[in-house]
Amino acid sequence: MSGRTRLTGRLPDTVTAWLARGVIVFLYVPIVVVVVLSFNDSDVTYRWAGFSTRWYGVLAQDTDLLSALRVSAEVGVVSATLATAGGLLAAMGMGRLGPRGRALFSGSLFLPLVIPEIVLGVALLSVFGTLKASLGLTTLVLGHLVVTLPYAALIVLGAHRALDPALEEAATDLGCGGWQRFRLVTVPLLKQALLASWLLCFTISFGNIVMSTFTSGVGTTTLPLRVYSLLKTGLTPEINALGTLLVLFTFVIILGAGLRQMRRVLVGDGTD
Amino acid sequence: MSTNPTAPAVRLDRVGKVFGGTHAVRDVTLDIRQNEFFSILGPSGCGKTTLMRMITGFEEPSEGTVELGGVPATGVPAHKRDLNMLFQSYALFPHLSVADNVAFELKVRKLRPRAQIGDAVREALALVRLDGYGDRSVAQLSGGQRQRVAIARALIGRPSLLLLDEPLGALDKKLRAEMQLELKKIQREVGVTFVTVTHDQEEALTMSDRIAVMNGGRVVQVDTPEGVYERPASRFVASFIGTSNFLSGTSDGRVVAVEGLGALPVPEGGAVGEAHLSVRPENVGVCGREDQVPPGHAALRGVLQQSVYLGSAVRHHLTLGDGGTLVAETSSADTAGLTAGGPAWAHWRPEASRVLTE
Repeated sequence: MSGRTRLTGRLPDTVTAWLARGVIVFLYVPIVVVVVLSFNDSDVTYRWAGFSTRWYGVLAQDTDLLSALRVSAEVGVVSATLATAGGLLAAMGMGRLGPRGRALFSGSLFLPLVIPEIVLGVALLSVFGTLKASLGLTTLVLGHLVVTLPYAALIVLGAHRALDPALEEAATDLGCGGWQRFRLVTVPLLKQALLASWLLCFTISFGNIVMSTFTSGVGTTTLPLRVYSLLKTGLTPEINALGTLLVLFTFVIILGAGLRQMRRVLVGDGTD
Repeated sequence: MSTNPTAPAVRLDRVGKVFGGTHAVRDVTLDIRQNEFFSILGPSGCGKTTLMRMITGFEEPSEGTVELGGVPATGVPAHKRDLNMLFQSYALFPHLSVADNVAFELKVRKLRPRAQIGDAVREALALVRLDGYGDRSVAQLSGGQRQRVAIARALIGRPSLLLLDEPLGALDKKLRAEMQLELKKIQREVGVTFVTVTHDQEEALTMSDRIAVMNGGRVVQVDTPEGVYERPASRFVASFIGTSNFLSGTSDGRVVAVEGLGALPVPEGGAVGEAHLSVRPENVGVCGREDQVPPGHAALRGVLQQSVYLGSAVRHHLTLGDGGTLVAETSSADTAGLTAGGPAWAHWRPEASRVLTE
């Protein structure tokens, strides 16, 4: 509320309202364009040549692109799961540290957030080279973990810190050993944060290009890498068709599960 | 953990706790009897919460031993101790319904067959007068109702001991008075030893069978409510529980000689040497002339600064000959013949005063 009164002191309400509308339009125009152009009966994406669904047929036959989609989905699921589990473990372990240990530990968890991803990619590639590890699904997942783990830790640690510590003590007091307390109280209380963390990590992994460039191997090209390489040979509305399907898929997930939780965890919006 | 029914519910033997080089609790030796309503009373930071956490097992003592029902508790983890705790924040699980909160311990400890859990929950909710609330979510309850659910949850497994952390601190004043009586009633009904931790002296006085007063990590007095109020062991206890007037001087066992004020008779057999005479305001009478002082009373001449009307009593502030202040509380009828700024005599029965050396 105070932010609003402060702003109205500088700009008229109508101006800020139109600014807000402009930002929303700017955010969503590309998505609308992708959907519209996926029905374009033309060989190039930028020229409209009438309505057609033929690119969806082409997409269904494109084994290269579909296998890249599968790699991305697999890597996304595995790395989001591992990152969220890691974030949960970090949150649990944090309670056992003293104040200095806590500062050191959380600092080292969040440091990768401020290191440029390309530096992390180069570093990880050198590590894999030294270990003579062959690049493939495993290295991809490890690379994506480096990127996603800090986000998972940020979300789950924040949610865990916001819990009343008496809740876990009450579980102990009522007879729970460590594992029961974890299963019956800690995890259910963090359910929303875990879901938000998983969705965010999956999205980050699914769209990642920089880390994938360094850690993918032959036969494990991810979808973003595949699309990027298509830029050189020329993009067709097939990509738009794929994009439209992904947008549709995302909407289903968000409407089905996550929007409210995600907003609550990320923005701290308490409205129910 | 099997316990001996004749042993004290809790026995603390020279218990101490050190945090980062300082003693939060020091040398506490204390027995809490079976089925007793016991209070640990002290100002914030006196170590009472730490003492309680050592009984629950959330903290291990650095020194001394804790026995529960005659069995040493050293090394017994918190979840295996035959006691429950009522948390100040209630700590109800927000992801569970009222009934599932109450049933939690029965399910975790497998104390009852599944088929009997429903009946046990109904019984426990009836005990706290929340019949029919089982299906509600915790978020739908008021503060007072949440506390009742927490009590039902803590008592359903019939622990030998219930620890209550500032049980009434989060309630408003009217509800607090109601819950004081209610807690006492529940304690009699279930026959469980209750140990509350509180900084509220009124709460401790009204609910407890016995009170341990703590200050600076030590237990300074253990007695009945009447005992700690009427016979405080130290200046700290006399001023922390209720209010007291203190007059410092030298005692010879029969009178305390206060410099600038004279000799005041005290109960026979008191301490000798440097001492404080302590007398409660409600035991002090005030009159306008020396010949009105009842025979045998200790009396002091002063100037009446002001009289404040309190409804059930009048509080008089007197300035004494040595510049000190004395407070007296009398029933409203006794104010005749007194004027602010005029002379006044404060007087009390010597038996109503105490000689304290600490």
